[in-house]
Amino acid sequence: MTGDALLVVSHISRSFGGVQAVADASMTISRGESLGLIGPNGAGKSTVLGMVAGALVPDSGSIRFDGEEIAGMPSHKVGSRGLIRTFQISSEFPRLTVLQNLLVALPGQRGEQVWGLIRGRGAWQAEEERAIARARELLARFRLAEMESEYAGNLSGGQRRLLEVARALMAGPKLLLLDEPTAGVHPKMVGELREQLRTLREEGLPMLMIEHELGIVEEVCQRVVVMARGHVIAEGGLAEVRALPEVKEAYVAG
Amino acid sequence: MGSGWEFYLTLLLVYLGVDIIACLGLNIQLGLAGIMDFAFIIFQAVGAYVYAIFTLGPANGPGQGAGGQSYLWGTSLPFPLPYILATVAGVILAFFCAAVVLPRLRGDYEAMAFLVISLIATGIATNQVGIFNGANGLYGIPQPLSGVLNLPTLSYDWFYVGLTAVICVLAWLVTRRITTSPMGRLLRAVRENEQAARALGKDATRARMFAFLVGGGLAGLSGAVLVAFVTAWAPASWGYAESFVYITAIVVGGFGNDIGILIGVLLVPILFGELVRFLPAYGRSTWIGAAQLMVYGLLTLLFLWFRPQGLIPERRQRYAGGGEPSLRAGGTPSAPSAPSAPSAGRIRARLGPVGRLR
Repeated sequence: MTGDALLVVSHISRSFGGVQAVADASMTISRGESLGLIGPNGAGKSTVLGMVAGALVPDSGSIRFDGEEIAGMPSHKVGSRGLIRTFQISSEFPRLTVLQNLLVALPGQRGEQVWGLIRGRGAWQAEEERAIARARELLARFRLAEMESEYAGNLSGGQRRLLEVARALMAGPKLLLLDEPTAGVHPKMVGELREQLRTLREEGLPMLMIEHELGIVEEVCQRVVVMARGHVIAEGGLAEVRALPEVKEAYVAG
Repeated sequence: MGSGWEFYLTLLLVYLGVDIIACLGLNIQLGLAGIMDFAFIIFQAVGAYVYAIFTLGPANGPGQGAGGQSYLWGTSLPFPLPYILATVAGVILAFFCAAVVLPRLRGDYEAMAFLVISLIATGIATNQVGIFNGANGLYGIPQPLSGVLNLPTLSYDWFYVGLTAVICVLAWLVTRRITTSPMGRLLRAVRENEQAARALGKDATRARMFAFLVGGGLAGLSGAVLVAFVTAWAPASWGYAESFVYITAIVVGGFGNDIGILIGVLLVPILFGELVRFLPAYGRSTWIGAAQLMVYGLLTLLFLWFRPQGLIPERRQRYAGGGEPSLRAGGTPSAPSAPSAPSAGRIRARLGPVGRLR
């Protein structure tokens, strides 16, 4: 593949019992590009994202991230390589404060190592202070700064989605995987989320986004891949694939 | 007041200390990491046994140790080595149990697996006479420094209360270091949503394993502290139900809170456990033990129904330098308590996008 490909998914398949969720799906994301993954319910989009994120092992096929084969790698190893996902269902840490939710995400903390614990606070205090400063920057940007000491479980649904994206950024992603970021979010908050995602795109953060709200896909993603019944059926600019008869048919049939 | 009361008091205080050490350990596993360790008592038991065999004299063959007991090894190590070895034994046993359970099982299945491990351990210890003298257990276990100090019994008991208190403080310092660290935060995150923690690149199994080993080590230590005072240890002392006594203490006191644990221990094994002893005799001689377990069971049910967070819930951590919302207007918050932190309200010349690609 070309040298500037960040993620190369080739011919992956996965079935659950007798159901073929994903069949021979391929897609590529270049550096600095965001890709939308769209299609009717049951198309296999979340399964693809799960395989890329290490939550599911593909039955066959290959997934290369930054030149390294990651198919079947456990999710924390995928995460530590900078492939950070969000979930379809809000997955904040409810009994941690908003600020702590972000602090957890910082990779490679000395205070999380046994040796760091033995050496005591001196070993990780400076790192922690930098992390707090960084987390507060992100919270301010996502307009969550005033909630920093609130339990994350007490936030509204929309705020939780924002928190999850902020937390993902705290992990320093090389590629952000978003699984329906606006699902179940109040329309007022959708606008906020949309603005944040657009800013991320402008900053050049690569993203793979599953989203039903095509207006957002249009704003955030340069390119889309359309899936239906486990197969990739089209690929290209949103306007261009929307006009294809097979895409129209898939949406009607789905 | 006769000295009988003083003996009773020293015994209670040592029990209190043992229960505090054990519950601090269990809290790391259950409160912090959310691991349903229904086998907790076996780590205390192994600590007690290991203390015993490293203080009792050598056993040259079956039935040839101190007092004609059969046990492994047998060597009279000086204080404090047997305590350290008991702690290590707790860690090692915890490692093997964790290796079987933690990577694969979660929630109800995890709890069940630990429960059956506890039953297997009791079965082996009871029926294999050559390991720890089977169902009869070990007795005549030497007390630390008793030969050196040469105190009258009651004075020695008070000395031992002091030693227990010191070990309690050490255990508290160890657990405090964990609960207030980024590791403690990671363990809470894993407890709340393991999948999300993994997706952030965190090795959740490793973190859970760490918490489990710390808990196992403290349990082993608590067993050594206990057995060195009561000088006898048998499978009847550590039936699987004993794990639930500690779990009840944590449920009542509050998950993940040091003060809550102290209160839980004071209330559950000590206050309620001892109050039951003063109930009028009723039926068989096993009535008191049975009544204690019924009280603990009832307490667990009541708390799970009406106050699942316990008497003193986990504390919410606030970080210095959060400031007033108005100070953050403009999206450039001041750094917290860093040496170069600008005074509140001063605008820092650091603008532009604050994302990863800053």
